[in-house]
Amino acid sequence: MKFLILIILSFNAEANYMVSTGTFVPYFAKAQTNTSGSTKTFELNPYIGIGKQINMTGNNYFMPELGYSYYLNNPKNMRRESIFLHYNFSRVFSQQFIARYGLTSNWYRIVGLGGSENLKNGTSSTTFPSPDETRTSYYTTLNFGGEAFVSSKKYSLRFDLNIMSFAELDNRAFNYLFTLNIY
Amino acid sequence: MYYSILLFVFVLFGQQAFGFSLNNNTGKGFSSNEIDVYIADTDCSGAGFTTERYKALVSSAVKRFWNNVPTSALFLDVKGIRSDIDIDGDDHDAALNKVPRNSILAGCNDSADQFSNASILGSAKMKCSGSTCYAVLILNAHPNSSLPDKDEGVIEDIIAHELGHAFGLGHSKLKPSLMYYSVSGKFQKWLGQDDIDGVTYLYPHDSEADILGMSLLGNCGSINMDDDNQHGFFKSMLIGLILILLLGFFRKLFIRNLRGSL
Repeated sequence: MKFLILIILSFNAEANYMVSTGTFVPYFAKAQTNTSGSTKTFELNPYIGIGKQINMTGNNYFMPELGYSYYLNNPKNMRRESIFLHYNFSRVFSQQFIARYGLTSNWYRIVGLGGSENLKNGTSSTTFPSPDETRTSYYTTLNFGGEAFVSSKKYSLRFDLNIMSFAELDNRAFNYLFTLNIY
Repeated sequence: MYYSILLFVFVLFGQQAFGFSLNNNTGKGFSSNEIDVYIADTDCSGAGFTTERYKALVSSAVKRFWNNVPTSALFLDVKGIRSDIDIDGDDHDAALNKVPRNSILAGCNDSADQFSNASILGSAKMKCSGSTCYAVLILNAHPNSSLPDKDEGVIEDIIAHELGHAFGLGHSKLKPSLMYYSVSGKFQKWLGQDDIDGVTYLYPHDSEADILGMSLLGNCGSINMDDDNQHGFFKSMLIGLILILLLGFFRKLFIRNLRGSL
């Protein structure tokens, strides 16, 4: 037991702050991507985050993290981005693996740049206006994830599953984050 | 290394560029996130179903698609058949004048614009004046209509598409999206990302309820839009942080007390 606490304390001493970089995939398995009904499995939306590891008790940590993701696949008249504040707890199971759970406040911004687009409409075409304002949707997600240290205590690969509308079985949707953490 | 770069370039440029558009007649959509949907008491036999069945199809379409977006607070509330509203023989403008304000009316007839064309399955028109909006969606019940040949799932897709127009969305250029101009040659099981973005843009979660994480519970239909609440996210972060720090503090206190009592 003392040995375990020593490991965790020494780990904590070395790893107070962390930087994360990776990709954020919103609406995983819920947004249709082709005409046969397949859904999104991966998207490259660069994510960067900065966080801190605060020891609570024993091998339990509180790991708040502020993150930002920019969506790459934007059309010319729109920009999308997400800001996150993760309130995650973590439990260190071994020197190689950490389990993570908690909540995230999400700030999803759609920045409309105006203009219009000529699109098919019935048997002819119509010019439809594009969004011209910035709108933000705030939502909260429940998170579960894990973090694996591959070759060193300084680097880990992390996967976070964010559950939206957790209480509604039919309405539930998922985002995920796949990141490299540097302590 | 070469393959990694190739894979990165493929992923980067292989992604679909999303982009929704807005309905021409509307501006920014309804002022409330909760919109009542009524069914006109008009004969839909030309479209292949009864008015009662139409109501069930509208309810199912709403549940399958638009009330199912966690980043949006839109809630379409299908109220029922209005026996006092009949749109038989009306074009879009005449039908629109019969719609209760701040609601959507769904009906069918054989006289709306272009309904003699069999390929037009339905259409919608929305009108806004100040903060008051109203919209009508009409399915094609003309003798030429090809709606009776369609599966019920496809009819739900068409209703959901027209509802999208009725609350403020325009078309998408991506075929997998519900708001693509045509339903033929595809199986619409989910919304596309630009449908999701469109409804999120028009009806975002920006109410006080979301500060307390109420969006975790889904769309309850009682959330009102508040455009002035631009600081909600920071309040949300602060309250969440305080709650979690308190939780950690009490947990620590509990464990200390437990150890003390042992």
